[in-house]
This record gives sequence, structure tokens and C-alpha cells, in this order.
Amino acid sequence: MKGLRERLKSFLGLEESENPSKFDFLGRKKQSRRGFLKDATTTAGIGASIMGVGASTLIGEEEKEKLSLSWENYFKSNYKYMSKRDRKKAVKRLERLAKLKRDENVSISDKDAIPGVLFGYAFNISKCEGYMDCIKACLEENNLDRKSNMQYIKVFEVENGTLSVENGDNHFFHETPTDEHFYMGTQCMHCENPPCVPVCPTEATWKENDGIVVVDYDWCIGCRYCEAACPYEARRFNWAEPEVSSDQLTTNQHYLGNRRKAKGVMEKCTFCIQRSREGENPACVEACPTGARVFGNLLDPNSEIRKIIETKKVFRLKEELGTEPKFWYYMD
Amino acid sequence: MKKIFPILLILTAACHPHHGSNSKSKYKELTNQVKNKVSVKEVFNKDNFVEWTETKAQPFLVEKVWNEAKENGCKSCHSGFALSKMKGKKHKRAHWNIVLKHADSKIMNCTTCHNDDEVWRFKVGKSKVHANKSAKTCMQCHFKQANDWELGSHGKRSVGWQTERAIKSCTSCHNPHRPVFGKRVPKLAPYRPENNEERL
Ligand code: HEC
Ligand code: HEC
Ligand code: HEC
Ligand code: HEC
Repeated sequence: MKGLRERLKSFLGLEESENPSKFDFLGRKKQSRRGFLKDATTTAGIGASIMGVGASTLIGEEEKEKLSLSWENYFKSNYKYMSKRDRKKAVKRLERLAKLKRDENVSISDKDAIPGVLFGYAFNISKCEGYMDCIKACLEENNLDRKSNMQYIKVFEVENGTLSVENGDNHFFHETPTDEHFYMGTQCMHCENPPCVPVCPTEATWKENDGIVVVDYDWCIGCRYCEAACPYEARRFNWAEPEVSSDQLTTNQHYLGNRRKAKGVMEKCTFCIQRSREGENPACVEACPTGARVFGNLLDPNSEIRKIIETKKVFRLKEELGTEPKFWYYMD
Repeated sequence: MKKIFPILLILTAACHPHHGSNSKSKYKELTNQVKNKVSVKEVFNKDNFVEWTETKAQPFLVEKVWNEAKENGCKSCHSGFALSKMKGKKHKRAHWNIVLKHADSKIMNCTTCHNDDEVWRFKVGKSKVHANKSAKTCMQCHFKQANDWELGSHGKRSVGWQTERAIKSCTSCHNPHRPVFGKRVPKLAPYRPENNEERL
């Protein structure tokens, strides 16, 4: 891992730092991703003049507030390392910015993992009918790019008798279920040993205490190492600015969940962190008309998910990799 | 049923039995470490559910599928008449819209499930149950699915994961008269990553 970090530092044109924590927290991202602003910060006075007295005559109050908030938002640190207070501030800032920039009334949560909860998911391959209600619900709930119809979930149509999802088709668009086929959904499996996490050069992705693997979209530099590292093809990259119209926006959001994402950042399924941490099921589970999707707390012995793992023949994808996905498949 | 053969193949190809059992024991251990139980939020309206205590498993709640209005609807014609009296010339043929597509007509007719005198009640053995407990009627014949339903691997929760267990009844998902899930077109066009590419 060390080698990779070294290589990345030189790749990004960063000097070796004596103090690794400095390297971790000081504007690395800004230098690489938004180099133009670096000039502004180093040129003393420009920042002050934007926000200063002189500017107020040129730009309106709201414009001023927007600039100042964007400025602060830009220099915030990684969510993972923010204090509770800073998180609250960051959230308030984003809410206000949404209002100022697009007139959207969003509510962004910074709710932590619930103690004693470890989320798990089970998928019944003998129940799924390939209707894809899950994918639609996911797209809407998570404010995914409408231009490309970005999808965290893939549903594979697999011919009876074939051996794995690799032989399946996830680009079908016809009436389902079709004879001699079964359906199998994949998405982020929220591995206990997520291979996507250690490869991230900016610590922009990590596993939370309830097992959810999250991304700090503002800390992601878009290098896509995580995408390459994921054996389940669960990560999605925004090559362009994602498009979601204001009237279609889901406004109940979480900092690590379904808030608006920008061009050049990675995103993925978060088990709908904005819902699951409030006790609700992820949107895909709720939308599924067949009951093929089961979600719950692995630490609760009375939960459906535990009952299924204990009494059904379950398997996980690519178990031999040792990633310990918390996503089980089973059948009746 | 038709699906089991290929799936067995997958299992032999992808499932490592020892891994499976490892993961089970692992989560058992984790459970022992939990000290404070997750608080159960009462976020849903219990009036929409009936209690289900007749089970070997933990008691749970089942979503209602029936209401007074529907029942009064039936009563407006059926009250005072036994079904046997209603059939025939005196009454016009009714319910032409309900066509049974459930098992064989030798096994199944309207009164296999509906009570003869009170059509809004359902047969369980020689007794009858309220429509909200019609799952019991189904369970007499479909005991395997019934077991799975009680366990949680067939059917689905009506509310989130955190509350007490409240699940959908058989007829929330299956039309009792034609219970097989139909075919339909997916609700969403496929993912087109190329529409979000500005690579150059
Ligand atoms: C408009 C009057 C009317 C209403 C309302 C009505 N029924 Fe009926 N129903 C009839 C008649 C007439 C028959 C007997 C003639 C026939 O076989 O179609 C019948 C027959 C039946 C039968 C037996 C059919 C058979 O072939 O054995 C069932 C079961 C039944 N009704 C259930 C219901 C239920 C449940 C409701 C309430 C949701 C209801 N009905 C409401 C008029 C009605
Ligand atoms: C497999 C059991 C079963 C059989 C067989 C059956 N029903 Fe039903 N029927 C039900 C149940 C259970 C309900 C309650 C509706 C619900 O749970 O949503 C119902 C509801 C109804 C209703 C009211 C709701 C509606 O869908 O309009 C009518 C009318 C009705 N049945 C008529 C009939 C008739 C007529 C027949 C015979 C042709 C018949 N049923 C056969 C189980 C059955
Ligand atoms: C009298 C026994 C009986 C009762 C009561 C009964 N069923 Fe059935 N059901 C059958 C039989 C027999 C079949 C046909 C099974 C087959 O084709 O292998 C069947 C088929 C089904 C199927 C479809 C199987 C398939 O894939 O072809 C479903 C779903 C189902 N029943 C649900 C229900 C529900 C829900 C109820 C209660 C409202 C119910 N059944 C009540 C006997 C019953
Ligand atoms: C969340 C919705 C849901 C609920 C609730 C539900 N089922 Fe099903 N059931 C399904 C689906 C999906 C299938 C598979 C689809 C198919 O083959 O038509 C299925 C299949 C079946 C079958 C066919 C055999 C099989 O196992 O594939 C039977 C019989 C059946 N269900 C009975 C029941 C009974 C009895 C209950 C209540 C105790 C019940 N179901 C509750 C969704 C549901």
C-alpha cells in the first residue's frame, strides 16, 4: 500500500511530507482537482476582496453569501475526520447552498451508525421476476443521473443451466420473466474487507461502523482506483455533471448518501444510508413487489436476514476473494 | 420449482460450504457482543395490521387486506342467502369478472376458500376466519411457503427493518384467484453510460 501512496504522491506532484497526517488533510484535492483556485488562495487579497466590503456594492447579498459558503464548503475537511460540530456546519452550509443555487429545500442528515447494528442483505434468486422496480426506485431515491439512467443495481437475466452472472445479460429490455431464465441482482455488497477502500489515495471512501461502505463525494478526486478494485462492478463514475431536475430531486438526504453529486466523482449504493439509518428499508427493498430482497440487522438474531442465513442454503459471489460481502443469495 | 435445477448448478460452482458456515458462526459471535438492543420505533400505525400469534416463531403483525366497506359490499347481496340458494335462475349471474386460474378445477372452486354462508369469511378446515387472516386458508395447502413466510424468506416486510416484525399477507402479493405473478415490461430503460461521457 505504501508503494501506491508514494507513486500517487509523485503522480500528483506532491512533495514528500514528514508528517503523513499533514499530507492527508491539507488541500491535496484542491491542488489536483481544482487547480485554478490554488492561484486564488496563494494570491493574498483576492479572497478578501471577493468577500470584502468593496464587493458588496457589485454583487447582491445572496450572491455574496453563496460565494462565501462555497468558499468555506470548498475548504472543509474529509467527513470521516470532521468533528460532530464541523459536520453539522458542513450540512447546514450544503442545505443553504442548495437553496441559493437551485432554490431546493433539501434536508441533509449527518446521522451516525446506530450502535449494535451491522447491515446485511439477502437476495432470493427464486423470487426475482426481473421487473426492475428496484432499479427505478434506486435511481429516484438516490438522485442518480437521468441522462444516462445511472444504476447502482444490475439485474442479470441468466439462462437456466448456465453457471454464473458472467453468462447473464443485464441489458435486457423486454417482458419478464421469460421462460427458462432466472434473475439475479447485484449492487455494492458492502464487504467486510472492501478492496475498494485501501486503494483510495485520498481516504475518500471507507467502511462505517454499521458496515456501510461510503464515499465522501467532496473528497473524491475521481482517480477511479476503487472502481477498478471492486470485484462486483459496483461503483459508478460521473463522467459528466449528473442531471436531476429540481422537481424530481429526493430532498431527504444524507451527507454520505443521496445528495447531489458532481462531475468527476465516484458514487455507489449506500444501502440508502439516508433511509436505513432511520430504520427504513433501502428503496430497492421497499419497491420490490416479489419480496426477493431482504434487509436487516445481522446482529439481531430475530431478524429475517439472520433467519435466512441460518436456515437457507446461502452463497455469496466470489467468496474465494475473501472480501466477505454482506450480501447473500439464497433460494427457496 | 422450474428454477431449482440451474440454481443447484450455481451453488456447486460458486458456493463454498465452509465459507457459508463460517459466516453464520461469525455473526452468532457478533451477536453476543451486542449489549444494548436497538430501540424499537413505533413509526407505523398498528390499526393497519392484525396480530399473528398462531405460530411457532415469534409472534408478528400481518398487514390487513380487508375492510368494513368491502364486507358491506358483499352483504348487500349475500346477506340472508346461502350460496346454494343464490345459484340458479332467480339470481343473475354475478362475478363474471373473476376467473379462477388457480390449480385444477377439480381441486379448486369458489367455495374451496370462501365460506358458503358468509362469503366474506374464509375456510380453514371446518371453521372460518376473517378475511384479514385468509393467509390461513392458503397455508393449509401451501405449507412450505407458509413456513418460509413465517420465517421471513417468502413475502416481505410492510415497514422498515427496525420496528417489530410486520409483514404482508399472502393476498397483498398474490391475487387469490390467479396467484401467479404476471409478465411485464421493466419500468425503466437500461443504463446508458455513454450518455454521460465527456471523455475528451
Ligand atoms: C351485486 C350483488 C353481489 C355482490 C355485491 C356480491 N355478490 Fe357474490 N354472488 C352474487 C350472486 C348473484 C351469486 C350467485 C350467482 C353466481 O354464481 O354468480 C354470487 C356468488 C358468489 C360466490 C360463489 C360463486 C360460485 O360460483 O360458487 C362467492 C364466493 C361470492 N359471491 C363472493 C362474494 C364476495 C366475497 C363479495 C364481496 C366482496 C360478493 N360476492 C359480493 C351477487 C353478489
Ligand atoms: C384460493 C382461495 C379462493 C378462491 C378459490 C376464490 N377466492 Fe375469492 N377471495 C379469496 C380471498 C382470500 C379474498 C380476499 C381478498 C383479499 O385478500 O384481498 C377473495 C375475495 C373475493 C372477492 C372480493 C374481492 C375482489 O377481488 O373483487 C370476490 C367478489 C370473490 N373473492 C369472489 C370469488 C369467486 C366468485 C370465486 C370463484 C370463481 C372465488 N372468489 C374463488 C380467496 C379465494
Ligand atoms: C385447496 C388447496 C389450496 C388452497 C386453499 C390454496 N391453494 Fe394455491 N395452489 C394450490 C394448488 C394445487 C396449486 C397448483 C400447484 C402447482 O401447479 O404445482 C396452487 C398454486 C398456487 C400458486 C402458484 C404456483 C405456481 O407457480 O404455479 C400460488 C402463488 C398460490 N397457489 C397461492 C395461493 C394463495 C395466496 C392462497 C390463499 C389465498 C392459496 N394459494 C390457496 C392449492 C391451494
Ligand atoms: C412479497 C410478496 C409475497 C407474499 C407476501 C407472498 N408471496 Fe408467494 N410468491 C411471491 C413470489 C414473487 C413468488 C414467485 C413468483 C411466481 O412464481 O409466480 C411466489 C410464489 C408462491 C408460490 C408458488 C411456489 C413457489 O414457492 O414459488 C406459492 C404456492 C406461494 N407463493 C404462496 C404464498 C402464500 C401461501 C403466502 C402467504 C403465506 C405467500 N405466498 C406470500 C411473492 C409473495
